[in-house]
Amino acid sequence: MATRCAFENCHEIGVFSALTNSYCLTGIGGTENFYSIFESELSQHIPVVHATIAGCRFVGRTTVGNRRGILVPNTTSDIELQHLRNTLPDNVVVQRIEERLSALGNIVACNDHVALVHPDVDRETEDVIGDVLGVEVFRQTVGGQALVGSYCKFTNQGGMVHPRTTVEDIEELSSLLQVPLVAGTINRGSDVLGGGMVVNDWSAFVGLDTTSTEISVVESIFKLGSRQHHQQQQQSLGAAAMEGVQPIVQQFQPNQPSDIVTDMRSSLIDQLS
Amino acid sequence: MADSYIHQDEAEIIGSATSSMRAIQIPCCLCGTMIHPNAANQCGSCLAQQFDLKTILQRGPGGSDLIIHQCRQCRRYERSENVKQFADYQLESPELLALCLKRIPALQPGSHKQSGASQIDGMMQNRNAVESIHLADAMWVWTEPNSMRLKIRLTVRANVIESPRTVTVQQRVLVEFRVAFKQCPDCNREYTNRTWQAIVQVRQKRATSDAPRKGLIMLEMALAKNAHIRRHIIRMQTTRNGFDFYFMSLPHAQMLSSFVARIVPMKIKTSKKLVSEDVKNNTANVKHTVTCDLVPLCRDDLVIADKAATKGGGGAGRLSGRLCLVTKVSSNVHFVDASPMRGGDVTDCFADLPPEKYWKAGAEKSYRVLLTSRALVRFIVLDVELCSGGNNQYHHQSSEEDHDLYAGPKSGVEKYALADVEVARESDFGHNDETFQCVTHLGNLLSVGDVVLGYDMVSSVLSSEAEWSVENAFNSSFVMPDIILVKKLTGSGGGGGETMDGGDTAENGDEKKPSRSKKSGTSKKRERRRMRGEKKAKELEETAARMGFFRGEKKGRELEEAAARMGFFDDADRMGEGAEEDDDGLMDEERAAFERELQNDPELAKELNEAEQELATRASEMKDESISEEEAKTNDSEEAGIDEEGGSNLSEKST
Repeated sequence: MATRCAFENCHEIGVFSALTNSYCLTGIGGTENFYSIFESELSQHIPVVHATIAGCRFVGRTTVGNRRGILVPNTTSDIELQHLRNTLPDNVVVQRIEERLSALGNIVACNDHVALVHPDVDRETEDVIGDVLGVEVFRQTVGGQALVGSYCKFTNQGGMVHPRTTVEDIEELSSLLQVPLVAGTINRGSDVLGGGMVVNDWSAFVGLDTTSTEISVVESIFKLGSRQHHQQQQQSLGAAAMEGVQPIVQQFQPNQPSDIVTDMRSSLIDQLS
Repeated sequence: MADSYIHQDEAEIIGSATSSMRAIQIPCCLCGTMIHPNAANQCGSCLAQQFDLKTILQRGPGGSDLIIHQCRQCRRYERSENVKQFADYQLESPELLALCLKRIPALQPGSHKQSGASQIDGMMQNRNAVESIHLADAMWVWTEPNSMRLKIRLTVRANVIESPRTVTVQQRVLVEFRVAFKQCPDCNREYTNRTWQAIVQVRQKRATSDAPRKGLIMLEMALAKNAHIRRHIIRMQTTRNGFDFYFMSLPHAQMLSSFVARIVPMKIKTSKKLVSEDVKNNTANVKHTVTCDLVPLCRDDLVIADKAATKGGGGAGRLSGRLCLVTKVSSNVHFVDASPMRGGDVTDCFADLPPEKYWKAGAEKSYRVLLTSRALVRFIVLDVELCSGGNNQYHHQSSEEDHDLYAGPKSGVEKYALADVEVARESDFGHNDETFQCVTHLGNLLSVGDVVLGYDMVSSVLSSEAEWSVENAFNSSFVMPDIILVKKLTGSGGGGGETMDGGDTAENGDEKKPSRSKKSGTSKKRERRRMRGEKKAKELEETAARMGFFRGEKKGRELEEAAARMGFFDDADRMGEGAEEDDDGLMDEERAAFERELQNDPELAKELNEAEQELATRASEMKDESISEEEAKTNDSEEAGIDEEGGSNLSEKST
C-alpha cells in the first residue's frame, strides 16, 4: 500500500527516510508525525529507527542499504554509528565507507540482488558495496542521469525510472536488473523519484503531492496492491531470500484501479453476506 | 499505464531492441492520459486547468473589461487614452490588431503579475504564480461587423512557477474586446456650442459692387482643395465682400491667414478685443481678429497706374503713369502694359506688384481700376503681325502669318510676344468695315480668325469718377489706346458661358428669375425679398459645400440657421439685383478658368503646391495621401493639358 506523508510540510520524504525489507530509518523532525506514520505501518514487522547522519536529518540521501546491510558515509559520527548498530537487527551489517561522493543515497540504487552505482565511484567502494550488501554492482547511468539513486528506485518486485528515459534504456536496465521497469513521476510530476518516495517489497511511502495516477503507477509496478499484499509480505518476511534470477518475462497482472474496486466489492460482499 | 507494461513485455518477448531512440510515454500525473514527458509532466488539458492564462489576459486595466473606444459618428478608433488620437482602421486589419494588443495590460512589459490564488475564482486550485507572459502569435477571429465585439486568438508563452520547478507553458487564448462609443474631439468640436477665440476676416473690397471678385473665388478653390488647412475652422460665414472663419485660438487663425497670403496678395492685420479679465490671476479672455485685405485688383482688370506711384521706389516701376492690364494674381499682382510700344522688348511690358507696395501709405489710390472684365467685348482678329524688335527672333518664318503659336509651357515658343493686330468688333463684322489697329502682347497666341476679348476704349462709357481719374494719372508719353486685347477665346466654343458682354447681363438676370405673374407693389416686393433670401441661402450652402465644410445634411441647415440668426438675410435687401445671379454664373466660369489656368500656368500651380507642401512639413501629422493625390492630380491635369494642346485645339489663354 502506498501511503502519502510529508516531513514538516516537505513532500520529498525520500530525503528524510530510508526503507528496506528489514528496517526503516527516519530523520528526527520537530514533531513525531512523520515517524508515527512509519511506525503505524511498519513497526509490527520491522524496526523503525530514528537516526541522524553527521547530525543531519536527511538520512535517506546519505545512506544506502538493503536487508543485508547498510552503508553510511564517512561523515557519520561514532555515536551515530553505534546507535545504528544498536538499533538495527543483528543480521544487518553497518559499514562506514570512505568515499568522496558522500551522498550514498544519491549515487547508489539497490535492491536485495542488484545495485546500480554512479559511474564515478571508486573501485573500493564498489567492492565494499558488493561485499556488504551482497549484490551485483553495475556502473550505469539512468537515461542520461548519473545520480542513479535520485532518478531511479527499484525493489525486488519492480522499479521506476524518471520519465525522460528512452525506451531502449529502460529495456536495457530492465534486463540488467531483472525486474520490470516503468517510467513515471512522483509528487505531481516531479522526476526526482528517489527523493519523492521510499519503497520496499510490501509498502511504499510517497509525498503528499502525489496524485492518484502516480500512486496507481507506483502500486502496480512495485506490486503493492492489496491482492498481492499478503503474498509479498510472507515472501519477504521469509528468512530465505529469493536468490536467483527472477524470470525475465513477468506474467503478472498489472494492478489496475479497477482491480482495487473489484477487491473492495468482493470483500464487502464477503462481509455482508 | 497498462500500455507501458505491455509495451515493455512486448519488447522483451520480441527480444529485438528497436534501433531508434523513442521517448517513453508516461501517464499524466493528474488525469492519467498517456503523454510524452514534459517539464510539468502533465497533459495539456490539465495544464490549461492549472494555469488559467485566459483570466489573466482578459482582464482590462483596473480589473474591468477590455474596451476599445470608437467614435459614433466618424467611426474612428481611439488610439491612445491620453493624447486622444482617433484613427481610421478597417476591421480585422493589422493596425487594429496592434491597437488591441496594446490595450491588453497583461501583455505590456513591466506589468505586475499576481498569483492566481488571490483572484476571484476560488474553485480554481491556482496556487501558481504566472510570470512573464510573452506573445507568440495573434490572429483575428471573425465577429459580426456591428456586434461591437472584437475577438483575437492569442498564442502566449508564460513561465509558471509550479514549485519547485518553473514550467514554460504555451497556450492559445481567445480574448474578447468590447467596442464602446466615445466622441472624438473633432466631432466634439462640431457639436458643442463653443465660442470662438479668433476670427479671420478675408475681404476683397471692389470699387463697384458688380465687379467680379475673382480673388475670393481663387481663394475658395484653394481652400476647397486642401482639407488640411480647414481642420481647425469651427465656423465659416460669407459676407458681401469676403469670408469669415472662426477658430478656437489665434495660432490656428494665423496658420490659415499665412496660407492665404501665399495664394493671394493681401495685407494682414491682427487686433484683439478684451472680453473679460481676471486681475487676481492675471489672465484675460481675449478675442483676436485677423483682418486680411485682398488687393482689389483682379485678373483682366484694366488698371490705371498713377505716375505718382513710383514715389518711394516701389510699385509698378516701368509701368507707372500708364494703363495696365492685370494678367495674373498670385502672391503678387502681375501687370502687363495695356498699350505697349512697338519697338520695345516684350519683357519690358511686364511688372509685378507685391502686396506690401500696394498697401503702403497712399499707394492704394495710385492703382485704380478703370474697367473690369464685365466690360469685355468680342473682337475678330483680322491680321497679326509680329513686331520684330528685341529678342523676338524666329529662325524659320516663312511668312508673317504662319508663325508658331504658343502651345503650352514646353512648346519652345515664348508665351508673349509683341504684335500688331488688326481687329474688328464681332458685332461690326460683316456689317461695316470698322477695324482697329493695336499693339498687343498676345502675339504668339493669336492667329487670323480668332475671337478675342478686349476692352473697347472707343465706345465705352466710363463713370465720371473713372473719367476724372484718368486726368492727371498718366505720363505725357502715354497715348490712350483704342482697343486693348485681353484674352483669346477657345475656338470650339469651350467657354460656353463666357459671354461677358455688358449688354447681356440684364437678359441673364431676367431668365434666371422665375417668371411670375403680375402682382401688386407690396406683394411683389415681398416676393422679391423672399426670392433673394432663398438665393442667398443657396449661395451660402454652395460656398460652404465648395469649401468642403459640409459633411451631411445637418450642417447645411445649421449654417443656414446661423446665417439667419446673424441677420444675414437682411443683407439680401441691400444688394443689387444683378449681382447674385451673375455671381452664380461667374463662379462656374471662373472655376473652369481657374482649372485651365492651373493647367497652363505651372508657376501658379507650383506656388499653390509649394504653399500646401510647406504646411505639410510644418504640421507633424500630415495626411500625405491627400497632398500627393492633389499633386498627382495637378500633375496629371498638367500633363493632360499639355497633351491636349499638342493638337490644333488651343485652349483659352489668359494674358
